[in-house]
Amino acid sequence: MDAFLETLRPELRDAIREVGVERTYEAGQSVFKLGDAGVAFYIIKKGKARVHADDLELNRLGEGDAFGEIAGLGGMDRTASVTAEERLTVLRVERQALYEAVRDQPEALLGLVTMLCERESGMADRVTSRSWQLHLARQELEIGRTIQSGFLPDSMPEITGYEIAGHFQAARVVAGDFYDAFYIPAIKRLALVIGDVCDKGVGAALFMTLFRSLIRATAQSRTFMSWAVDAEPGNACADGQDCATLARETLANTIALTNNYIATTHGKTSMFASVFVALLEPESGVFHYINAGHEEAYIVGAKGVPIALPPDGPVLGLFPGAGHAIGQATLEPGETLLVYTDGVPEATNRAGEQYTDERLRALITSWPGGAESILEAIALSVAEFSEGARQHDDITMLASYRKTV
Amino acid sequence: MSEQLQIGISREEGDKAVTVLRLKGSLDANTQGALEDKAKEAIDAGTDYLILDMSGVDYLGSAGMRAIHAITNVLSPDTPGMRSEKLKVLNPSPAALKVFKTLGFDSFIDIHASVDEAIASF
Repeated sequence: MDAFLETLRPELRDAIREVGVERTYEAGQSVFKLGDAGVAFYIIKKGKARVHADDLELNRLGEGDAFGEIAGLGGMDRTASVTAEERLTVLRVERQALYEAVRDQPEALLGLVTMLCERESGMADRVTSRSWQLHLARQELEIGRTIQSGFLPDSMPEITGYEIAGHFQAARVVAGDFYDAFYIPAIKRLALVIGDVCDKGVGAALFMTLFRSLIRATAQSRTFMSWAVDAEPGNACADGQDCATLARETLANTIALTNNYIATTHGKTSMFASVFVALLEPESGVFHYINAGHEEAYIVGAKGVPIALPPDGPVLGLFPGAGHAIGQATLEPGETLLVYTDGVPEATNRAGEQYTDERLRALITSWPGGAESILEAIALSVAEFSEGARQHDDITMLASYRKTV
Repeated sequence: MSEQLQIGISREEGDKAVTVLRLKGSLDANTQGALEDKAKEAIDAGTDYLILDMSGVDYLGSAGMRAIHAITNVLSPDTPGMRSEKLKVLNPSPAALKVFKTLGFDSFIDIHASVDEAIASF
């Protein structure tokens, strides 16, 4: 108990010893609770105590430490709870009794003022230090966000006869969703990619960069590798090879390599992504696609209900050797290929209701066309539905519109 | 949408050490840890096989699927990501079944209609 008392003027020390009453608390017993009125402060003679606000631990105290003096001597409400961690013996110093004792002793009063100033100053230092740490953590996250934004395309590829647009709205500072669009000269295909890494926050963000990079690198491997042997970007189709077969091969390899790499290298973390990848031949509008555990993609036309391209194979990253069916479809002039993540249908309003696939389908049925315009319409519809309720999941969309000639 | 997950545990009589975890509520990012903890407790207590009764799951999120995969890894550490031999799912609710099928987990984890049928598959 002496540690704290030693710091005080002798006159105050004597007064505290005179009016202090010894009390014992069993392990788990509360000394006071957050919000209680402060009437006394405490000095620990023996045992340990936790300072906490509900479940959040703020500090741990041991023999010789004092606590509760700011609210206790100021007559304010407790700003935290204190609970005995083990059998705890304290000297309880009641405010009224102490004030009576020091009333006529200027030296003791001076000691009390000095003590409170020192304690207050120590607390201010701790608050400053916590704020600074919080500031640093936020700054780190902000750096993460900036770097992660570099894993989304800077701009959409310019393809004659097409309009391509993306929409990305993170629920937190960093996100697990991604979209991508790039042209692969070697096989004359436009790649359209969307992915949703399970869970949220920093963990999902790290895996987002991995999934996105593996898909982009593998899909373009013919182009990238050809740079190593000749100066011209390789064009495999120009060598008389069947481009459609190469496109199918590229698609199958991209999905298999990404899945098997992550499942065998990072399988222990159980992180996975649902992914939709399409390789589209711009001239004919024919595309091959794999839907690996992702939401249905839609071919949206000016007339009638959208055509759904449902998942046909598991999510990537968990099951080595998993098979995925390759689908084939055609984007006719006036049609839009729309892909999105579950943040769209699962957006909730204040009543806890979901936006749902039904609302999305109703909105895009008989859509007149346009990539930017369809994404804007969906984003607006979801925002109106949510009525400003907190966004729980990333909302990501990619649209590719084939213009009418 | 319920924010909570209740987990009932029962050990089955028989030759094999089988534990049934009955889930009720929402299996998501907030509750996945609780499921993993209960499963690990059962495994530490000597259970070799787990049956997840998902008839009472009214919301299944991707974080919940991640927990289920992690549990299969604990049960079968030598064959990560291979067809789940030691964990089976019982009677998933329509909401849970939809997520299972969309994410393609149904190809790796068998779904059964009764405890006896699930036990017979072990």
